[in-house]
Amino acid sequence: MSRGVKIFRLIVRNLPGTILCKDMLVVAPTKRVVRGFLIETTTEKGRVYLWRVVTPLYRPMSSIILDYSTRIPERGGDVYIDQNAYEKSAEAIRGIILSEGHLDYLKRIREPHDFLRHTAWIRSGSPLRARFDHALTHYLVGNVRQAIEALRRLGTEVDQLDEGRKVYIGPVMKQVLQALDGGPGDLKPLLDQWVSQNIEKFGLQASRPHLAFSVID
Amino acid sequence: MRSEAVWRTPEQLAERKYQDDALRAENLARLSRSLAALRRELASVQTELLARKAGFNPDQPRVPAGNPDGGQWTDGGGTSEGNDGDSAVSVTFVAPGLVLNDATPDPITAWARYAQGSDKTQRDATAVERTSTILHDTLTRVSSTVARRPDSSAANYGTDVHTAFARVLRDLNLPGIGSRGIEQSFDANGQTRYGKDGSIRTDVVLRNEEDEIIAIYDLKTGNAIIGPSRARELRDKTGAGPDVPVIEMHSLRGPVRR
Repeated sequence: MSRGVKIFRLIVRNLPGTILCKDMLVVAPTKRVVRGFLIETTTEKGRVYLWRVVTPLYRPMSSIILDYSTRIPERGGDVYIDQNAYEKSAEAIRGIILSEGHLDYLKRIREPHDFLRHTAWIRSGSPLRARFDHALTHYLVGNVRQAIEALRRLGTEVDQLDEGRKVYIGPVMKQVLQALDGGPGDLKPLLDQWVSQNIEKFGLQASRPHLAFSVID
Repeated sequence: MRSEAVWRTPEQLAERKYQDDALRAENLARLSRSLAALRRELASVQTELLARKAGFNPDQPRVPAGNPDGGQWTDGGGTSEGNDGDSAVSVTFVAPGLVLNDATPDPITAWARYAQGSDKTQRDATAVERTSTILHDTLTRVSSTVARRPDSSAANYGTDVHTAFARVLRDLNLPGIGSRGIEQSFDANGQTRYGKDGSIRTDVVLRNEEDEIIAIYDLKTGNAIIGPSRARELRDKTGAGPDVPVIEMHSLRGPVRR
């Protein structure tokens, strides 16, 4: 069992609204955006990075991406896990999570439109993957025409990348554009499919909203 | 050649651990002193630049502390003795125009203060140049504080320098780097956690205010260098463009673009 899981197991008992999903402390419910906390190991013995995670699930990924996440505490000392004192380390990490409104902040990012607010810094000069996520998010919040225009522009941009940079985004973009060729509405099933795959891959089922009908909206 | 097996008694092992711990503590203490000096210098630069921004001439003498007008700039008359205390620490490595963000929680915000009025390309280039200078100076100082254990390998020494360098940078919270830009891992999907299959680890990543990566720094010790394939992999996995410099940081060789 990883150190992160041991720590989060101790924390989750005293942190209402959170669920341990694999090695991530998830803020429930998970819809299209997963929120929570992750522990990242480092090369220094005992030291870890604690992440406040916000990740959109509507694109394929092999692990939770941290592009929109923050290491906490943002200022101050480093975070250590003492293997001889897990309870004490867990309490310290719980303190960080509860400080500066991190948990409350995550609770406010439930839907794609909240994610847009969270990523308000994304502009035309931002990294390609960020603009791609931005366009997909706009599609999901109903700005369909603008989103499709942005995605087609991004498709042209991706075409011009050298092969090394196309490895991931090339095939993903191709699937998006193929779906859009069928009509504006045809992208949604593809995004829902990616959400479902990611939910399963990252073991997030327990954090899903318990609704009588199984829809994401 | 077969390596020689070394057997140690429990007493020898305990002694070795004691020596290692003592050396580590000594390194840490040296690092802490160096960091304190760096902080003083950076604070001094910040004070000076804020003063410049407010239209003050920092070279203009000030009324000494204790006087009712203490700290105010004067016309040069009277008995002012100029700067006092920590602000007298010489600044040797920060180019004019850099504002550090001790008072600004978001490192990206501080970017707006870089080279105001110039275009984006120029702004980015200036930021890379200045940051490279700062990082090199920091690395030189850090390297001088990390003692190499007599029987430690080159790799272990390299790890110690990386660890100390990262610690100082986290504390400095430099614009465009912050805490997030240190020891970051990437795979084809985006940023990920250390150790994920197919991921690469960067030592330092510098971003502009649009969150675009504008430089990737890789710290090397000993004879190690960054080869073209490694440089390409760093650019590809981070999503940086082909023109983004991968800068090799070495305390003796200085920053080298790859």
